[in-house]
Amino acid sequence: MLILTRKLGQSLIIGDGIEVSIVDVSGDKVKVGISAPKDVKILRSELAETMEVNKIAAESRTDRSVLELLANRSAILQIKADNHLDDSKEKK
Amino acid sequence: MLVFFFEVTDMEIMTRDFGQVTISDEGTIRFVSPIYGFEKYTEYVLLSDTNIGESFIWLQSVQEPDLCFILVDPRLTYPHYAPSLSEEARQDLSRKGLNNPVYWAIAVIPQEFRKSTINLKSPVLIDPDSKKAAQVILDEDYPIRAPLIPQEKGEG
Repeated sequence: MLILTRKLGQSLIIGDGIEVSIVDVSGDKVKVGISAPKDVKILRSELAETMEVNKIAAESRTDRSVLELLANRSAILQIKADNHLDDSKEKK
Repeated sequence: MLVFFFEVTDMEIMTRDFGQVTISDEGTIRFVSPIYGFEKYTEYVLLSDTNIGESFIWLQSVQEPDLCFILVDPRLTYPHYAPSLSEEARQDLSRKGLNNPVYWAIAVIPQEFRKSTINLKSPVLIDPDSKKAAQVILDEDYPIRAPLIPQEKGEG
């Protein structure tokens, strides 16, 4: 992966007619401006990934007996997780 | 004289996993911000199975019998899951009828069900009073593929 350092207000060009500029930086957030031809699709990566996962979710037809198993197993594990509150803090 | 205060609009729909089901209009969930990739489908009903309990629900499309998502209560596996919305997002949802929404996670349940995941980054919010719903992408750093069954320590 190419890694470049840019300052506020600077930009870079990708291919033909795509310009990415740094509009604002505050804390851990960077505001990015993009000018690109109309036919170039721009998506936040988590949106693209969410669309992909949604599609897989809709395509997986799950047997109800599997769900029954899952429901029971998750409940059991949750009780265990509650016994170890420190372990279960779940924020990646 | 008989006066009907409510228009009775029961209708029968075909579902993916439950066969034919009678639904009422007031039970229909309407997405104000649709499920990403499924923008055409905004009307759903929630179905559940008493054997499975209320931590798993079926989000069944009213428009398309074959379209159905399994939603899981994220707190089943992640009891501390408590995402916060930005003030802007909260107000926007509130304007669209989601004042007190409940958070659900869309599940991906493969044949090898131990590898099931839920999407904690993009929960489905459903307001039980207004019956409005939205899929939102959180700013917070939650995984899109969080294991539904956490790996126990020492388990292979």
